[in-house]
Amino acid sequence: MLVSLAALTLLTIAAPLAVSRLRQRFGYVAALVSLALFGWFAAQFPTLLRDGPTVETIAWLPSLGSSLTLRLDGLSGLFALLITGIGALVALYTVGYLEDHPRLARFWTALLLFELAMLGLVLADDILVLFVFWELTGVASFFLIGFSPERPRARASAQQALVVTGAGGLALLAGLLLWAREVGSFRLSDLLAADHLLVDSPVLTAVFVLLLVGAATKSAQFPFHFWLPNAMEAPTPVSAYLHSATMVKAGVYLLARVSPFFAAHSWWEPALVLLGAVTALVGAFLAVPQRDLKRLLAYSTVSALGTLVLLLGLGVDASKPFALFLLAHALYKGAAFLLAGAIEHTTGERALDRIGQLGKHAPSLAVSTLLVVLAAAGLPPTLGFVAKEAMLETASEHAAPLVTGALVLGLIGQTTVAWLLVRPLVQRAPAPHVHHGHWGLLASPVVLATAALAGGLALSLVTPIVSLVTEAVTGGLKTVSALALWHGFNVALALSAVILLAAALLAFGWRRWAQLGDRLALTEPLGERPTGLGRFACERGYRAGLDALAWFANAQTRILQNGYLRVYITVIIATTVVLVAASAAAAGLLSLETQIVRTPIDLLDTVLVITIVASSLVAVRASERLAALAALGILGFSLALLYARYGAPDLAITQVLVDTLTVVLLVFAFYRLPRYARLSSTATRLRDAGIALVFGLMMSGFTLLVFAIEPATRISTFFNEAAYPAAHGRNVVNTILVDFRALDTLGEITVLGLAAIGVLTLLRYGRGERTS
Amino acid sequence: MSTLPSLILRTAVRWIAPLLLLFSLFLLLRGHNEPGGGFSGGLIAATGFALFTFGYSLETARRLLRVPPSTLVAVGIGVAFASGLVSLVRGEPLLTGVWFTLPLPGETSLELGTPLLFDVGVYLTVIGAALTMLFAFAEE
Repeated sequence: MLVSLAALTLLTIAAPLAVSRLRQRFGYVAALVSLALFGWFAAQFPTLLRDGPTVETIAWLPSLGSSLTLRLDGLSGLFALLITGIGALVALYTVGYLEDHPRLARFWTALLLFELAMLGLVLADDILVLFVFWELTGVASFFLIGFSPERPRARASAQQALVVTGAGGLALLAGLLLWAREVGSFRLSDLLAADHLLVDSPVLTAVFVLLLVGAATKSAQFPFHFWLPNAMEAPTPVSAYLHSATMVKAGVYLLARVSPFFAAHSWWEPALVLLGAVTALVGAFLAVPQRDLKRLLAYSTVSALGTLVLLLGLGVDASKPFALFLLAHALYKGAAFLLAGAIEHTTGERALDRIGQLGKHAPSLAVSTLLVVLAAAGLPPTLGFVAKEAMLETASEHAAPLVTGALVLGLIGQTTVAWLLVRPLVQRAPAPHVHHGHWGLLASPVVLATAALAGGLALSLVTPIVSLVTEAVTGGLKTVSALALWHGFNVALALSAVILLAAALLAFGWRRWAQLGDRLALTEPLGERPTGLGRFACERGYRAGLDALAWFANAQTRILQNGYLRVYITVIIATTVVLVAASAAAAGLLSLETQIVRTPIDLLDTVLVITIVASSLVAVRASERLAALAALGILGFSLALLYARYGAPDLAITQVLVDTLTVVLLVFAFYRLPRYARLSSTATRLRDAGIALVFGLMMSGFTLLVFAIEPATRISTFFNEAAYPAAHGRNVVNTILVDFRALDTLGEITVLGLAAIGVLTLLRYGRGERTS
Repeated sequence: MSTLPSLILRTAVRWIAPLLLLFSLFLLLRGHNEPGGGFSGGLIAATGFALFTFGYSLETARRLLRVPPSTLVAVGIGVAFASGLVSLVRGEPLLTGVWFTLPLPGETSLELGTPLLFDVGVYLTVIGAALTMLFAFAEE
């Protein structure tokens, strides 16, 4: 598993260079790598069936309790198969879809980053690792939705998806950390194995709600569903891969993953069933009137995601239909998206009512479409049919009639969308200008649809996968008996027939629904001034939230970031003094007997101290900038001498260098600085002097306090002893920096780099803004 | 800077700046056992390039550096992080020092380890960050 992640990491890093050489042919490389990974994961299934889940671990940050632990069980295995398998097909498809696009390198880097992150997300057994990969999928999705940054709507949609899923990610992080704190482990398998009787405790309830929010934003559940149709700004391979088959299922994955533990929670069933049912209905209702092919499929995906959440909410009984539908939907919806892209590529049109007569003018496209419709509508003998039967059977036996009704209505909407794909083949519309594309454009959707078809015929292959998934979702219960295509005449079959028929009728009279949708303003992305039902769109809540955020940011910036450096410094120093003094008093440090260590003071010390005091006075009182600078320089160098004298050569070197560079920087900035004048009144200066004195006194007092406390072992003793044997170095400071506390240093140099970029941005771009 | 830098400064820079760069490498390499290290080495090297900016021009300094300073920042952080990944291959935690001894002719041997690589990363990042700021200030 680690090898698969490492391979994808290398490929991602190599992508920009390789793409500039291979151009669109890089897609074949990416497809081959994904295919190899697919083969590897497929080969793991016999082992999984025989020996149970496999775990691989690398001690990542053992001192923080986090390790890079990966775990492969049925659920993550199925997701891994989908990610790598559909990944390979999408890569092949991209060769034909994007052709020699100028921004190909950026596309591949982001897409491979996504594949890596998504694979890491489903394999992670450590919640911190899981969270990092979770966020990375969102970042990759941001770049891919905004792939055409020249379009304002693409930029806005990318930002929207990032903000919505990112906010949910924060909730997820809070939930995960709270959970880890409660149980005392970062290992997901430990967390899930904790005592179920405690699941209703207030803390775990909070964890459940937070995880649910995270999952709902990622998987586009109501009321966060609006970002998904807007994400259709992305190139079609991305829509097929991220926004239908894999990434949007991350939330569903998370819920399925934690269900062995949280399904015992008393809120689990009502919350998930309600959330799923509402989402399934809203998605279905909004899907049917859409005119744009991709928005049509996007809303139907929302409905399907709601169905999946609903099934999870039904608990153990629904784990079999959940597993089946998860697999079937990824296959047929991925195929449908890829097909929609192929239709757009072939005809140059994406509006459903403007494409027609494909049956006559593009026969191969038409045959592929029929195959995809077969899979997507869930006609026998496809996997979609089996999934639907299982779903309806479970619902009619175990769920309330209301829930079954919602499920059926959602399925009617989704099936209508599938039937609607037939319209471009037969309906009357101006004959399309057919543009023949690369073979991958049709091969990829056909392979996916054939897989959905074959899955229904070769159920003996699907059964072990489904039973492994249900085992993971239910926490070890083996519930799946053999699957069958034909269940005899029963309620499920009747409902299935009703769904197909109702959907066919809806699709037949689609023009009327589309016109109704136009009147209610449902068919276009939400405009600046919403009309019709758009007035009640959840997206308006998002906009209001962003406006409120901007207002708050403005308000607090006016107060805190007022642009006066002197105010910042005053606030920082005064706050430090208050906090340190308060905590020192609270810890009882002020009443300690301080033994003032009397060290002999010689001439050099005296001279240095006098120089330091004198130069600081000069710096404060100087009437010319150059004099003040010189005084500060003297101050710095005297301090450095003092450090060197008392056994801190590294500190002294750094002090000297920083002082030198400061002077160099000031020389460059010298001509830009304003007139060196006394601007503040005497009263202000006295107040500042007071603050400075108090701060100085506090620091001196603090230094003296150090002598009053005699710890059992001094940290310097440890480092002195450990530096050579453990870190192979005799310079203790350096061994701390590059070995003992190297992670801190890594963080610090990252901050240093960011600061440099910040300075660059301020100087280069701040200037233009001021003049305009 | 609009005025022509003085001849004395230019001549001095030609001699001092290369020495500073050599000295910065010296500090970097000795850092593990004696005072020095990537941070101070990086600052010295940045000073060397700053001198060129004084004595000649910003363009000269940029040309001598060959790569944009912000690239150095990225490469530096990358090298430092990559040095931490080496230990993962041996199944040890991130950023654990991995050492090996290089036998040299005679009685001596040289100990090399990933912390040195890490320090090189720090060195590059510091040069890059300092020069990014410096060049931005010098640009006018």
